Amino acid sequence: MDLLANLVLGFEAALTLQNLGYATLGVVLGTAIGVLPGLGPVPTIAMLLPLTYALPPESAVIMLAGIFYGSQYGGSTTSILVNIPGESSSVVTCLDGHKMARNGQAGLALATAALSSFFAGCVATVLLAAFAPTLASVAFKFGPAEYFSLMVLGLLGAVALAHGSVLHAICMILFGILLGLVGTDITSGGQRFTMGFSELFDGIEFVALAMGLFGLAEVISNAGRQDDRQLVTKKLSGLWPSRADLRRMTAPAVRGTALGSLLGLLPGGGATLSSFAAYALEKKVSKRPRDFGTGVLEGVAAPEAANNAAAQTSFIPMLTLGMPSNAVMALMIGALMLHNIQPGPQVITNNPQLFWGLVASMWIGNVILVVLNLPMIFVWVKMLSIPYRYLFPSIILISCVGVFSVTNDVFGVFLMAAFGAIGYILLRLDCEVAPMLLGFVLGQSLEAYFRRAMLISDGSLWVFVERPLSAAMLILAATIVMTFFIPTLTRKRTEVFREAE
Amino acid sequence: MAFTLNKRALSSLLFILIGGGFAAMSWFQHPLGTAASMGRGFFPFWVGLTLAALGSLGLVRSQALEGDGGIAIAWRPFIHIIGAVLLFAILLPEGGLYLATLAGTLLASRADRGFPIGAALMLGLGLAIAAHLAFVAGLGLPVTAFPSALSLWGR
Repeated sequence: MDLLANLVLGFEAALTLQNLGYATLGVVLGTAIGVLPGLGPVPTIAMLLPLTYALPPESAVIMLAGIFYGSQYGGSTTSILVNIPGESSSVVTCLDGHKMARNGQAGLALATAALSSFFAGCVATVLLAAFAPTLASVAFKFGPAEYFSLMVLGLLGAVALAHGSVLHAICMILFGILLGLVGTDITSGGQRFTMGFSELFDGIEFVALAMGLFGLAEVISNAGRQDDRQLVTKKLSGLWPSRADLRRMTAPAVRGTALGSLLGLLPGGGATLSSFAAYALEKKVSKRPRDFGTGVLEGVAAPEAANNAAAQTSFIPMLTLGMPSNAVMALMIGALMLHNIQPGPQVITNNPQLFWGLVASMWIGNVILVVLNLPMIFVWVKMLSIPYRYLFPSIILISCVGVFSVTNDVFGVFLMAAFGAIGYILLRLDCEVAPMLLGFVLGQSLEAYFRRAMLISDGSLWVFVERPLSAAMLILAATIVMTFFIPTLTRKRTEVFREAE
Repeated sequence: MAFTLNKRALSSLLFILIGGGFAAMSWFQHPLGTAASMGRGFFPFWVGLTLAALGSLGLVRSQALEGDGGIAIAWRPFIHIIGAVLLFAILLPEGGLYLATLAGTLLASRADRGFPIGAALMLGLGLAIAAHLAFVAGLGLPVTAFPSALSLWGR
């Protein structure tokens, strides 16, 4: 059987001592930083990206994946023990998880989060292994017109699910695309928009942009704030759930996994959306919906399963189509490109070791998470008590050295300062920066596919509509945008987000 | 109706400026070509123009909004943190890793009024040692750790 042979290849790649070490290191570092309040997966990955720069591509991707789910799990720990979510996908976990901790069930809440994440991770890994190759073989039939329409659909779909004004989010995408075009034009070899800086000939350094927009901007908005954390550390005993608890969490974890796996595939989907959706679903099917929010086990199991499942299935469109569904996947694409790997259907055939190694490492990473985190929880609790005051200068300086290490030039550090300032101002103007990162990552491919489609059609825009698959994707994209310009729906969407907050 | 400069209006103006700027640069500095054989200005010109158009639409719509308030910037952290990054970048090539890290940490720590100077110095030193171990010793980053006496003498 093909799948089996592929998985063996994957485990062979992932189980080398070296890669196992990098996966563990990634999970530990990711959890350690993800535990810190206010630091979600995106800034964590951006900050640790330089460390993987020197590694071979497989190891780098395996370590980054480890950092990703490590930081996500760390965020859940923070939500449960402190009432501050480490990241947006654990906002929901706060609702019941923190209440459970207040009721003296912190250990049980943490174990529930870990076990349902583990279950979801195992299922999602199998889905990834089973479906990615199929999707990739479909993607091989895509022409430039289809690819262009797919990217338009992906970008607009991601916007519809973001907070705030849809119009502004589209503007942020376009801004990102323009920034992505800075540097040497692939076709003519000429320079564009470099303002005479030779350092920009290779384009704007991805790490500098990501760290400025997500790391620095975030730190600036948090630094002035007083933090009042209500850390629950007492009675962290009883980590292992009883048989009755295990039975109680099974059904919610299964439902959460199913929902999360599905939503992770959608553009704009991923961890945050699916944890909200899973919580809502669980409340619907529960016999005692009123108890939700007072500290029920189901309210932790379902969203935690969902966000972990979605985190992993969102790798499928990223690896097979080169289509990032959220900011984390955009970072992953950036990381792959640093290693000269262009994500797309050819990854599975050209770099089977990387692809299957990643799949296998995801499962291994989930094992490491459970094995490592249940006993290490006391260390994470210690990290939680570090005041933000000491953290923020550290984040800034680590980012500085990190950017320098990637570019070997202080120009990158100056660039990061500039994007930090821009990112902060945009944040204050209620413009989310995630769509900008998606645009930036896709900018050059978007232009290249558009150019090729135009070359084939001899300059006729009809090519995007004449090809049925491309037309279908554009119609879908248009529908999504139209839907969100209708006022009543917009109000409903705001309500959903508000309820969740 | 008087024009109100709220957040939406400000960001819309920003988009018009950015989009218009990119479109203008594409128009004046780069060959546009035709759709069938695009010059390197073609795609950014149209993307920039679209951005400016959507920005204008946002500007019009912004006037219908009420009570969205102006922009509030926390100047103290903003200046100190961006300043710290700039200081690091300026000091690193000549001053070396330790000096740049210490100075950067000190300046960044000033974003929080109550940060004790002594603690900031200790933190800076710790960060410099950690960076030295991880990036210079571990990853072999070509950067001087300390300012060499020779380079100071040469000035």
